[in-house]
Amino acid sequence: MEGDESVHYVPPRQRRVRASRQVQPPLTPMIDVVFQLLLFFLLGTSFREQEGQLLASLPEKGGITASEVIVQELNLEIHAAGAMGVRYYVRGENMGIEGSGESLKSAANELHQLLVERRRKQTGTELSVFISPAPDVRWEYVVEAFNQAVRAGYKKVGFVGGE
Amino acid sequence: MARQGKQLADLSLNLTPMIDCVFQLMLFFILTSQAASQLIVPVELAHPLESKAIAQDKLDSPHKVIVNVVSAEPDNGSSDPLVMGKAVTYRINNRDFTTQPVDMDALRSELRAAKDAGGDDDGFCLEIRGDKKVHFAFFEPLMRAAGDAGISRMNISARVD
Repeated sequence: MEGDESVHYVPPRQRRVRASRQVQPPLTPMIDVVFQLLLFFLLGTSFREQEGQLLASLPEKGGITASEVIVQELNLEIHAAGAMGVRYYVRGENMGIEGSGESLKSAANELHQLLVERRRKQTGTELSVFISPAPDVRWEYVVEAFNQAVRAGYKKVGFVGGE
Repeated sequence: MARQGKQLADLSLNLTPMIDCVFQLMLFFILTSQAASQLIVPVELAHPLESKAIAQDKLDSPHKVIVNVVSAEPDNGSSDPLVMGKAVTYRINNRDFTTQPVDMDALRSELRAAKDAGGDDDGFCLEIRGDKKVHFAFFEPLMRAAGDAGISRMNISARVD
C-alpha cells in the first residue's frame, strides 16, 4: 500500500509475490480528534485544593448569647489585632495570645496548648468551649480557634452570638 | 557504464510513540477530571494548623444546603476599607442574597425551603463555605437564620492537610 515502504521494508521479490493488499483504516482523522480532545482538557482543567468539613452544631432557635454562658464553661474570645492580626483570650486567663503574619502558627499552637491544659485540669465533667468572636475578626481565625478546640479533644464546641 | 545515482534515504518521523503519549495524557485527564458543581463557588478557604477537617469522601451527609460566602476583596487582598473583610454575597442554590444589609427573612425562607426539600430530618446540615478574608459579622446572621430555620447541624469547610 502506498506509504508503507518507508516503514516496512519488503524485498522486491516478496513484493511481487504478495498479491493481497492490506486494508487499513485511515488513522489521521482519529489522531486529529484525539489532539482536539487533549486541547480541550488542557485548557478546561483547573486543579483545586482538597477541602474537608469541620463538624459543628448550631444553637437552638434564638441562639445563645454571651450573658447566658455559664462561668464553668470555657469561653474563648477572639478579637482583631490590627487589620490582619488576631488575639485569642480565654476567660480566666490573665493574658491573651496574639498573632499576626509569621507568628500566626505559633499563636495557634499556643492556643492549642492552653486548651489542652484547661481540659486536663477539668476532671469529672466534660468541658464545653464557647467561641465568641468579635464582628471584625477574619473567618480564618474563627475556623482556626474551632479547629484547635477540636484538636485539643473537646467534644462540645459552640459559637456565641452578640447581645 | 551507467552511473548509479545516489539514493537518498527517505527520512520520516516515527509518530507511534507520540500517539502513545497522547493517549496516556488523555487517559489521565479523563480519569482525574470531575465536572465542577455549580453549587460550589471558588472561595479561599481557611487552612487551620493541623487541620481536623474531614475529607468529603469520608463524610456521610447527603442532605445539606451549601452556603458560599463570597469575599468582596480580590484574591491578593486589599487595604481598601470599603471591601476589606466584607462579603459581597451569600450564594445558596445558585441564588444570591444580599449581605449589606442582610435580608434575614429571605435567608430563613431559603434555608427552611432547603431543609424541607432535603427531607426535613435531623441529619440535615448547613455547609458553610466561607472565604477566609470575610469578617465574622457576615457569618453570625447566617448561623442565626439557620438556627431559626430548624437546622441543627453545621459543617465548616476548611482545607485538609
